[in-house]
Amino acid sequence: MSDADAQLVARVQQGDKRAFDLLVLKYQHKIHSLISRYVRDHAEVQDVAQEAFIKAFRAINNFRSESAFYTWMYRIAINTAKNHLVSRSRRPPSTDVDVDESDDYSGSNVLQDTQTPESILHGDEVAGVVKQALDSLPEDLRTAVTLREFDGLSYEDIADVMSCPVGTVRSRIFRAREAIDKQVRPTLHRL
Amino acid sequence: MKDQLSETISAVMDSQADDLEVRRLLKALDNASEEEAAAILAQWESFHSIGSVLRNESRSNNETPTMRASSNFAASVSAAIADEAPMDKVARRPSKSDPMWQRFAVAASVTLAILVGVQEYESMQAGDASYTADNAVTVPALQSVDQSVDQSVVDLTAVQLASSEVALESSMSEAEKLEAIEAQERLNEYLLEHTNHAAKQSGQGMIPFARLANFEDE
Repeated sequence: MSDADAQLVARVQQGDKRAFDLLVLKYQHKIHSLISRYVRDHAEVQDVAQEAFIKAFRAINNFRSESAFYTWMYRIAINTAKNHLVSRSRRPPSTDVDVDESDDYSGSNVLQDTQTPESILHGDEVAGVVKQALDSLPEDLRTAVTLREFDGLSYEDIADVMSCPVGTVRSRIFRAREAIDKQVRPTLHRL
Repeated sequence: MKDQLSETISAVMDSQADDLEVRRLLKALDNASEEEAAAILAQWESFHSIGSVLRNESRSNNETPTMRASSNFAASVSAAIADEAPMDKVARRPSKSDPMWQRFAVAASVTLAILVGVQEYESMQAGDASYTADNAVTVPALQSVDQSVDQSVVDLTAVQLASSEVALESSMSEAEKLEAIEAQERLNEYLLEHTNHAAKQSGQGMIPFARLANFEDE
C-alpha cells in the first residue's frame, strides 16, 4: 500500500480537488498550530493558513513524492507566515520549528507560546473523553486501535499479533474509531 | 453513511487502502449530496483528530481550541480554489540533494554537447574554401528554391535563363569572328601600306605586295 498523502496528492495532480479537501482537513489544525507560533491574532492565523493552503494547491504539480507532503506543506506555511509578518512590518523570528520536531516541540523564547491555562484545560478534557471512550471499547477493538495509533503497526503486523485476518483488523480499527467518534464529537463541537 | 465507506475512510487514513479505494472514496464525495459529503468529510476529520489525541500530538502541537482551524476553514479553502487550477510544472534546477550519478550524468551530457558543437564549428571553418568554390553552384540552386514558390514563374524564368545563356554563347562567338575578321583586314591594310611605302623610298625595296601576289599566280 502506498502512502495515503501520496495517493491524495496524485489525485489532486490529476485534477481531483476533493482529494485536496481531504488533505486540508487532515492538516488544517497542525498548520494552524504551526502558524500560531509566528502570528498571534487568531483571525490572522486563519488568513495565513488559508493563503498557505491555496499556495500549496497552486504549486501541487511541483510537488514530487521525494519528501512527505506535510514537510512540503510545512515549508510553505512557515514562509507564508514570515512573509505575512514582513508585510506587516514585523520582524519574523530568526529561529524556526524544525519539521521533524514540530510534533513534540515545546516552544522557545522567540516563538510564541500558545499554551494558556484555559487551553490546557480544554486539551485535558478532550484527552479525557477519548481515553474514557477507548477504555469502554471491547478488548479486540481496543487492542487493534491501540496497536495502530500508539505503536504505529501496519494492518499486517496487527493481524500477526492478534492472529486474525487483515480484513478483521481493518474492520476492528474502523469500529473502534467510530465508537470513539460518537463519544468525542459532541465534546469537540462544544469546544 | 454506509459502513463500507466509513471503513474505507479509516483504511485510507492509515495508508492501508489501494488506489481503487481512494478513487471510490473521492467518487463517493463527488456523487454525494451536500449533506452526505459534509458527513463524509466530518468523519474523515474526526478520525484524524482522534488519532492525533491518542498519539498525544494535539497537546505537543498546542492544538488548543483557540488555535484550531475554524469549522468552516476547509470549506473556505475549497471555495477559494474552486475556480483555480494548479500551475504547470516549472523546470527544476539541479540541487545538492540530487544523487552524485545524476549530477555526473548531467555534467557529462553538457560536456558532450560542447565537444560536438566545437567539432561542428571546426568542420564548418574548414569547409569555408569549398563553400566559396561551391558558391556559384549554390546561388542558382537557391534561386531555384526561391523560384519554386510559383511554378509558372519558375518555368518562365528557366526558359528566359536558358535562352539568354544560348544567346550569350552565340553572340560571343560571332563577336569573336567579327573581331578576327576585322583584325585580319586591318593587318592586311597595314602590310599593303608598308609595302607601298617601302617601294617608293628605295629602288631595291621590297617587291610590291601585288607583284608578289602576281608572282605566285604565275
